[in-house]
Amino acid sequence: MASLLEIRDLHVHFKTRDGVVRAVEGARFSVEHGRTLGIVGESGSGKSVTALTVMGLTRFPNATITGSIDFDGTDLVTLPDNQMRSVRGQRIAMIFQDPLSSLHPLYKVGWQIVEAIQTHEDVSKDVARTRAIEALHEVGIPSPEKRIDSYPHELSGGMRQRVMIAMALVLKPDVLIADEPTTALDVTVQAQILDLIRKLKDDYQTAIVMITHDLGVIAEIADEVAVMYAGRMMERASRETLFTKPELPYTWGLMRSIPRLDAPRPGRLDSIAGLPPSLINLPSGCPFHPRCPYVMDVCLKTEPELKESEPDHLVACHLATDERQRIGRELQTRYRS
Amino acid sequence: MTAWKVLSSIKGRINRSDYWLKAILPLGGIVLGTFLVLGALGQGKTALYVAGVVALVCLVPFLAATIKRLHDRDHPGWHLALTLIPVFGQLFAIWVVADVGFLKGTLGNNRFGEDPGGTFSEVAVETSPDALITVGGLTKYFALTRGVLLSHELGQVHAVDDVSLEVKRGETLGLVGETGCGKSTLARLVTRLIEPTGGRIVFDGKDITNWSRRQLRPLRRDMQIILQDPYSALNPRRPVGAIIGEPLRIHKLGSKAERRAHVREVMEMVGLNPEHYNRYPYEFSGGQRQRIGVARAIVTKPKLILADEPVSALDVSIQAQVLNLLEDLRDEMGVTLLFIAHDLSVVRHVSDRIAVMYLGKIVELAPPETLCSHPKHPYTGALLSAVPVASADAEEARSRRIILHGDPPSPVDPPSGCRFHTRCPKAQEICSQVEPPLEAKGLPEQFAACHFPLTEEEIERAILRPRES
Repeated sequence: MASLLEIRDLHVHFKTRDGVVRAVEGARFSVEHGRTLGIVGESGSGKSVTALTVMGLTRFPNATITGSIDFDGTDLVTLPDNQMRSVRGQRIAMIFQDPLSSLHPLYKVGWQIVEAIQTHEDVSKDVARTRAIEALHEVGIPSPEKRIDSYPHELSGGMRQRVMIAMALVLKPDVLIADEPTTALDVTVQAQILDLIRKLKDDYQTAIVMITHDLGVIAEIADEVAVMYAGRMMERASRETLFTKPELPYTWGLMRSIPRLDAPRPGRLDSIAGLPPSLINLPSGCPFHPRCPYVMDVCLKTEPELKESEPDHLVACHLATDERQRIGRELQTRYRS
Repeated sequence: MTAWKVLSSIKGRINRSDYWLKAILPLGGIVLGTFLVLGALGQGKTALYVAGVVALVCLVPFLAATIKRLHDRDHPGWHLALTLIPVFGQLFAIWVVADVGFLKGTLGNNRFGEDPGGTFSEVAVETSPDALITVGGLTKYFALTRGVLLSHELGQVHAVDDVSLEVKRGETLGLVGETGCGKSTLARLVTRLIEPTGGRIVFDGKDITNWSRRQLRPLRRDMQIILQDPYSALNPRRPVGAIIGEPLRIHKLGSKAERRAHVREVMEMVGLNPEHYNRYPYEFSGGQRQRIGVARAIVTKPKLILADEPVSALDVSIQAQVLNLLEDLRDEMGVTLLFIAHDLSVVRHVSDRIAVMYLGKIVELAPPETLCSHPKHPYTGALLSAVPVASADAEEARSRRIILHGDPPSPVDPPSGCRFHTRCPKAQEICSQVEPPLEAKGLPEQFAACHFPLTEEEIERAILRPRES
């Protein structure tokens, strides 16, 4: 069965004065209707660039994009710009991290939603406005018929993000890409927004790609998880598998470094030594090797391939499978005993 | 120069007793004089007033020159107009300055380092010897004004309202709360980076509520701050060695060579390469910049460090490194740490006690294990249950969650009685009428401000608790 959105061997490079930035090196994942794919990674992991490339927003003169992004039978990498315009927003929508900088500050929010509708559909302003009010209502904004005429700065952070979600979903897209949508929000508002996204996913069977660095958010909302590092996909598994038996040293490092409310206070947090790598001068072999506590000779020479270690669990690491599985299990029992 | 010629011509004019010059100069002089006296009484608004005076004094000869030239045209009515305009012009300018200076000053939103203290009734503050900071009845209202020249007050933002707190020497107090709860304001009030509207502050045994800027300056060695955004906290035009050494320079600690050596030492302590002394901030990553911020904060060996969301802008793996660093430094230096964050899991990790704030008030105060396993205040319960748990149990945690509806109310018009009552799942009538005091409830060292604190059952239902090891 073909997936709704399938990315195969995507490479995105940017030529800059300082060298070639290898933002994405061989990403591969797929998303289905009504399922959520979580992409976890820190700054420089390539997660945002991947999302922007899917939307066709990285088509700069200095960008080289290779690989395929198959969306419902069409390849988005080679799709001409004018056709991409009708896909973008209407069939694949995106919401961003900071709604205050993503919404136009000088136009009322209603106007911005109406603009989104009228760009893709031939409807009158009144019809569009009614649909905008409905959309605001659906995302839980009280008194939508009044709020529709508010400016972004007149709304709170949580409301602004809801407006962005309304704008993204008003055209009932097949895929919603959310790039760190709750990072700038308070934890109680974050809980509300995640709930909203989940509900909308269930109601409309939208496929969701949730990009975040917060493993807690992933645990709440993702069905499948992909871990990215230095532009590469390093691990991919179902949520259950990732949180019970992760097999990647980077994933272990991430999990160990988070202070957790549901575990006793550790004396020190286990941090991952060192810094994320430069995307221009990537380390040889496995990009994580300078920071990996399990590094071996082969890691400096050869890049590990993304291979299946058990059904539906892909890992890119030179460590032996049974070794990884043992360490992964040990790690999780620490939290579950 | 024209000005000189004009001044001489004015002098000449006076002697020839031109009436309008005789009227303007003395009148102007009286007005300016009043202005200066008022300024002097304002205790320290001197800088603004001096600037104002210089500007106005410079205006006078040019005004006089213009008037002289126009005066020569000898039109009817010119005389009167040209006499009145400068006088009213000066009055107007002074009114504007007074508007900015006095009106804003009395409302406590004082940029000129004024002393507004004691607008509220005198608060008695008991200090114990092992408290580094004690605050009593600390309040800060920011005025909301409309209009630039003729501003009038629309209302007041109750940023911090009647907070009393004690921070012991060497302890780490976590201040937790959502956007707008007043935690950053409270921390800055305690160090008088912002002036309080009311209440008392005692630092290291001294009541500093009404101290002047001059008196406070030597104390500032002992209070340092680490800011949230590593990208805007460092001056991009100076090398990091100079940035870190600046507090030493300002407080005149050590010779140039000694300062340099100390900075290098401190750089090593925070995990930076001392050879990077001459590099600029842009050459460092976010986590490294935050370390530079930490280095700058510890270089004077302060008694108190205010860490305002020091790790919120960092990636998870770097966050852990910086938190470990802060803990190590705290253990080594015995410094008191006021740690502000909105992420409860981070605060729990570093703190000895946690204060939860909501809309300008402390609603709960307890040691971290008590707070996280046996919260008493429903808001604390909601915060705890809202934190997403990074484990396969997330589904289960979520189904138990207390969801707070809507947005926090506006701090300009806080709800009556208990400020949380509009969103509280346990609110009753008394909650909207009587504000609950912060008092001992539940376990030892636990304080909560609630009429109907959470029961064990309610906690059990809503929150995934840490499993005891």
